Amino acid sequence: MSDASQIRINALLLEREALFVRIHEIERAASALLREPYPFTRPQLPSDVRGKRKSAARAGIVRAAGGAATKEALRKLEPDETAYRVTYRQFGQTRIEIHESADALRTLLAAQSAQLQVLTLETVDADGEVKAVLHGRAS
Amino acid sequence: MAKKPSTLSFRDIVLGADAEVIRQAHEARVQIDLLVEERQRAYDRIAALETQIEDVLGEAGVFPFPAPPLPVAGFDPKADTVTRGGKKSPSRPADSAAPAASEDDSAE
Repeated sequence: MSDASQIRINALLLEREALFVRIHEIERAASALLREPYPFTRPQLPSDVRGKRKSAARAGIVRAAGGAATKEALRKLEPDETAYRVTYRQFGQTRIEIHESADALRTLLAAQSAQLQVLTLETVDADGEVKAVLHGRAS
Repeated sequence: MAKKPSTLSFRDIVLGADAEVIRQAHEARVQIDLLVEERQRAYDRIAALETQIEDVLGEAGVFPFPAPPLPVAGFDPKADTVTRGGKKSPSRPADSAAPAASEDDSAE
Protein backbone atom coordinates (compact mmCIF):
# COMPACT_ATOMS: atom_id res chain seq x y z
CA MET A 1 0.00 0.00 0.00
CA SER A 2 1.31 3.42 -0.87
CA ASP A 3 2.08 6.03 1.76
CA ALA A 4 -0.67 8.22 0.38
CA SER A 5 -3.22 5.42 0.76
CA GLN A 6 -2.06 4.71 4.30
CA ILE A 7 -2.35 8.38 5.23
CA ARG A 8 -5.78 8.56 3.65
CA ILE A 9 -6.98 5.50 5.56
CA ASN A 10 -5.61 6.84 8.83
CA ALA A 11 -7.41 10.12 8.32
CA LEU A 12 -10.67 8.33 7.58
CA LEU A 13 -10.23 6.11 10.66
CA LEU A 14 -9.64 9.12 12.86
CA GLU A 15 -12.81 10.75 11.63
CA ARG A 16 -14.68 7.49 12.22
CA GLU A 17 -13.32 7.28 15.75
CA ALA A 18 -14.39 10.84 16.50
CA LEU A 19 -17.91 10.04 15.32
CA PHE A 20 -18.06 7.04 17.63
CA VAL A 21 -17.04 9.25 20.51
CA ARG A 22 -19.89 11.58 19.62
CA ILE A 23 -22.30 8.63 19.41
CA HIS A 24 -21.15 7.54 22.85
CA GLU A 25 -21.92 11.02 24.18
CA ILE A 26 -25.30 11.05 22.48
CA GLU A 27 -26.27 7.69 23.94
CA ARG A 28 -25.24 8.78 27.40
CA ALA A 29 -27.20 11.99 27.03
CA ALA A 30 -30.34 10.21 25.82
CA SER A 31 -30.12 7.73 28.67
CA ALA A 32 -29.67 10.54 31.14
CA LEU A 33 -32.75 12.30 29.78
CA LEU A 34 -34.75 9.08 29.97
CA ARG A 35 -33.32 8.35 33.42
CA GLU A 36 -32.64 4.78 32.35
CA PRO A 37 -30.76 3.11 29.49
CA TYR A 38 -32.28 4.14 26.21
CA PRO A 39 -33.11 1.13 23.98
CA PHE A 40 -30.91 2.05 21.06
CA THR A 41 -30.63 -0.17 18.03
CA ARG A 42 -27.55 0.04 15.89
CA PRO A 43 -27.75 0.48 12.13
CA GLN A 44 -25.90 -1.96 9.92
CA LEU A 45 -22.47 -0.79 8.79
CA PRO A 46 -20.15 -1.92 6.01
CA SER A 47 -17.80 -3.22 8.71
CA ASP A 48 -20.51 -5.71 9.71
CA VAL A 49 -20.41 -7.38 6.35
CA ARG A 50 -18.08 -10.27 5.88
CA GLY A 51 -16.96 -11.08 2.39
CA LYS A 52 -15.49 -9.36 -0.56
CA ARG A 53 -16.82 -6.63 -2.74
CA LYS A 54 -14.08 -6.03 -5.18
CA SER A 55 -13.35 -2.66 -6.61
CA ALA A 56 -12.90 -2.20 -10.28
CA ALA A 57 -9.12 -2.43 -10.12
CA ARG A 58 -9.07 -5.48 -7.90
CA ALA A 59 -11.81 -7.25 -9.77
CA GLY A 60 -9.68 -7.05 -12.83
CA ILE A 61 -11.63 -4.60 -14.87
CA VAL A 62 -8.88 -3.79 -17.24
CA ARG A 63 -8.71 -2.00 -20.47
CA ALA A 64 -7.41 -4.28 -23.13
CA ALA A 65 -5.13 -3.13 -25.90
CA GLY A 66 -8.07 -2.78 -28.24
CA GLY A 67 -9.68 -0.38 -25.81
CA ALA A 68 -12.58 -2.57 -24.76
CA ALA A 69 -13.09 -3.11 -21.05
CA THR A 70 -12.65 -6.72 -20.04
CA LYS A 71 -13.99 -7.90 -16.74
CA GLU A 72 -11.91 -10.70 -15.34
CA ALA A 73 -13.29 -13.07 -12.85
CA LEU A 74 -10.10 -13.28 -10.83
CA ARG A 75 -11.41 -15.11 -7.85
CA LYS A 76 -10.10 -17.18 -5.00
CA LEU A 77 -9.05 -20.71 -5.74
CA GLU A 78 -11.58 -23.39 -5.00
CA PRO A 79 -10.56 -26.32 -2.78
CA ASP A 80 -9.82 -28.53 -5.79
CA GLU A 81 -7.69 -25.88 -7.48
CA THR A 82 -4.04 -25.33 -6.63
CA ALA A 83 -2.91 -22.45 -8.84
CA TYR A 84 -3.64 -20.03 -11.63
CA ARG A 85 -2.12 -20.52 -15.06
CA VAL A 86 -1.83 -17.38 -17.11
CA THR A 87 -0.85 -17.09 -20.73
CA TYR A 88 0.14 -13.67 -21.94
CA ARG A 89 1.89 -12.06 -24.84
CA GLN A 90 4.57 -9.50 -24.22
CA PHE A 91 6.52 -7.81 -26.98
CA GLY A 92 5.48 -10.53 -29.39
CA GLN A 93 6.50 -13.41 -27.14
CA THR A 94 3.94 -15.69 -25.57
CA ARG A 95 4.61 -16.72 -22.00
CA ILE A 96 2.89 -19.16 -19.68
CA GLU A 97 3.24 -18.82 -15.93
CA ILE A 98 1.81 -20.57 -12.91
CA HIS A 99 0.90 -18.49 -9.86
CA GLU A 100 -0.47 -19.61 -6.56
CA SER A 101 -1.25 -16.09 -5.48
CA ALA A 102 -3.67 -13.78 -7.21
CA ASP A 103 -1.67 -10.67 -6.36
CA ALA A 104 0.80 -11.00 -9.21
CA LEU A 105 -2.06 -11.65 -11.59
CA ARG A 106 -3.85 -8.53 -10.53
CA THR A 107 -0.75 -6.55 -11.32
CA LEU A 108 -0.39 -8.29 -14.65
CA LEU A 109 -4.02 -7.70 -15.57
CA ALA A 110 -3.81 -4.08 -14.61
CA ALA A 111 -0.65 -3.59 -16.64
CA GLN A 112 -2.15 -4.65 -19.95
CA SER A 113 -1.27 -2.46 -22.87
CA ALA A 114 -0.47 -2.69 -26.55
CA GLN A 115 2.71 -4.60 -25.65
CA LEU A 116 1.21 -6.80 -22.97
CA GLN A 117 -1.94 -8.80 -23.38
CA VAL A 118 -3.30 -11.53 -21.17
CA LEU A 119 -4.59 -14.25 -23.45
CA THR A 120 -5.93 -16.80 -21.03
CA LEU A 121 -6.32 -17.17 -17.33
CA GLU A 122 -7.20 -20.54 -15.92
CA THR A 123 -7.21 -22.38 -12.64
CA VAL A 124 -5.47 -25.74 -12.49
CA ASP A 125 -5.27 -28.62 -10.06
CA ALA A 126 -2.18 -30.35 -8.68
CA ASP A 127 -1.73 -32.30 -11.91
CA GLY A 128 -1.89 -29.18 -14.04
CA GLU A 129 -5.32 -30.00 -15.36
CA VAL A 130 -7.53 -27.03 -16.13
CA LYS A 131 -10.33 -26.67 -13.62
CA ALA A 132 -11.84 -23.40 -14.77
CA VAL A 133 -11.26 -20.79 -17.43
CA LEU A 134 -11.47 -17.33 -15.94
CA HIS A 135 -10.51 -15.40 -19.03
CA GLY A 136 -9.96 -16.16 -22.70
CA ARG A 137 -10.22 -19.56 -24.32
CA ALA A 138 -8.98 -22.75 -22.71
CA SER A 139 -5.47 -23.66 -23.74
CA MET B 1 -37.48 7.95 18.38
CA ALA B 2 -36.06 4.51 17.89
CA LYS B 3 -38.69 2.90 20.05
CA LYS B 4 -42.36 3.11 19.31
CA PRO B 5 -44.24 5.16 21.85
CA SER B 6 -46.16 3.23 24.43
CA THR B 7 -49.89 2.77 24.23
CA LEU B 8 -50.66 5.74 26.42
CA SER B 9 -53.41 7.77 24.85
CA PHE B 10 -53.58 11.52 24.86
CA ARG B 11 -56.30 11.24 27.49
CA ASP B 12 -54.10 8.98 29.63
CA ILE B 13 -51.32 11.53 29.54
CA VAL B 14 -53.46 14.57 30.14
CA LEU B 15 -55.52 13.11 32.93
CA GLY B 16 -53.13 10.51 34.32
CA ALA B 17 -49.95 12.45 34.88
CA ASP B 18 -48.91 15.47 36.77
CA ALA B 19 -48.65 18.57 34.59
CA GLU B 20 -45.03 19.14 35.60
CA VAL B 21 -44.14 15.56 34.69
CA ILE B 22 -45.84 16.02 31.31
CA ARG B 23 -43.83 19.17 30.71
CA GLN B 24 -40.55 17.49 31.64
CA ALA B 25 -41.40 14.43 29.59
CA HIS B 26 -42.14 16.56 26.55
CA GLU B 27 -38.87 18.40 26.91
CA ALA B 28 -36.98 15.15 27.28
CA ARG B 29 -38.72 13.66 24.28
CA VAL B 30 -37.87 16.63 22.07
CA GLN B 31 -34.22 16.54 23.13
CA ILE B 32 -33.97 12.80 22.72
CA ASP B 33 -35.43 13.00 19.23
CA LEU B 34 -32.76 15.53 18.29
CA LEU B 35 -30.05 13.30 19.74
CA VAL B 36 -31.36 10.26 17.91
CA GLU B 37 -31.34 12.19 14.63
CA GLU B 38 -27.77 13.33 15.21
CA ARG B 39 -26.75 9.78 16.07
CA GLN B 40 -28.28 8.52 12.84
CA ARG B 41 -26.39 11.16 10.85
CA ALA B 42 -23.17 10.10 12.57
CA TYR B 43 -23.80 6.48 11.63
CA ASP B 44 -24.53 7.48 8.05
CA ARG B 45 -21.18 9.26 7.95
CA ILE B 46 -19.40 6.29 9.52
CA ALA B 47 -20.88 4.02 6.86
CA ALA B 48 -19.59 6.37 4.18
CA LEU B 49 -16.14 6.46 5.78
CA GLU B 50 -15.93 2.69 6.00
CA THR B 51 -16.92 2.41 2.36
CA GLN B 52 -14.21 4.91 1.44
CA ILE B 53 -11.62 2.93 3.40
CA GLU B 54 -12.59 -0.26 1.64
CA ASP B 55 -12.47 1.50 -1.69
CA VAL B 56 -8.93 2.69 -0.95
CA LEU B 57 -7.98 -0.86 -0.02
CA GLY B 58 -9.74 -2.24 -3.05
CA GLU B 59 -11.30 -5.04 -1.07
CA ALA B 60 -14.32 -5.19 1.16
CA GLY B 61 -14.95 -7.32 4.17
CA VAL B 62 -11.35 -7.87 5.21
CA PHE B 63 -10.18 -4.69 6.91
CA PRO B 64 -10.18 -5.09 10.71
CA PHE B 65 -12.10 -1.97 11.63
CA PRO B 66 -11.26 -1.01 15.20
CA ALA B 67 -14.05 -1.16 17.73
CA PRO B 68 -15.39 2.15 19.03
CA PRO B 69 -13.02 3.76 21.53
CA LEU B 70 -15.82 4.16 24.06
CA PRO B 71 -18.86 2.00 24.83
CA VAL B 72 -21.50 2.29 22.14
CA ALA B 73 -24.76 0.39 21.83
CA GLY B 74 -24.53 -2.67 19.63
CA PHE B 75 -20.77 -3.20 19.88
CA ASP B 76 -18.95 -5.65 22.04
CA PRO B 77 -17.17 -3.40 24.55
CA LYS B 78 -14.39 -5.97 24.99
CA ALA B 79 -13.60 -6.44 21.32
CA ASP B 80 -10.59 -4.77 19.72
CA THR B 81 -12.11 -4.91 16.29
CA VAL B 82 -15.60 -4.96 14.89
CA THR B 83 -16.96 -8.49 14.88
CA ARG B 84 -18.10 -9.06 11.34
CA GLY B 85 -21.19 -10.93 10.37
CA GLY B 86 -22.18 -11.16 13.95
CA LYS B 87 -25.22 -10.08 15.77
CA LYS B 88 -27.85 -7.93 14.23
CA SER B 89 -30.02 -5.28 15.71
CA PRO B 90 -31.66 -4.88 18.05
CA SER B 91 -28.62 -4.37 20.10
CA ARG B 92 -28.25 -4.10 23.77
CA PRO B 93 -29.60 -0.94 25.32
CA ALA B 94 -27.56 2.24 25.31
CA ASP B 95 -24.96 0.37 27.26
CA SER B 96 -24.55 -1.09 30.61
CA ALA B 97 -22.16 1.72 31.30
CA ALA B 98 -24.94 4.18 30.58
CA PRO B 99 -24.96 6.81 33.18
CA ALA B 100 -27.36 7.14 35.93
CA ALA B 101 -29.39 10.30 35.66
CA SER B 102 -27.20 11.87 38.25
CA GLU B 103 -24.02 11.57 36.21
CA ASP B 104 -22.55 14.43 34.34
CA ASP B 105 -23.83 14.65 30.85
CA SER B 106 -22.82 16.68 27.87
CA ALA B 107 -26.33 17.17 26.57
CA GLU B 108 -27.47 19.08 29.49
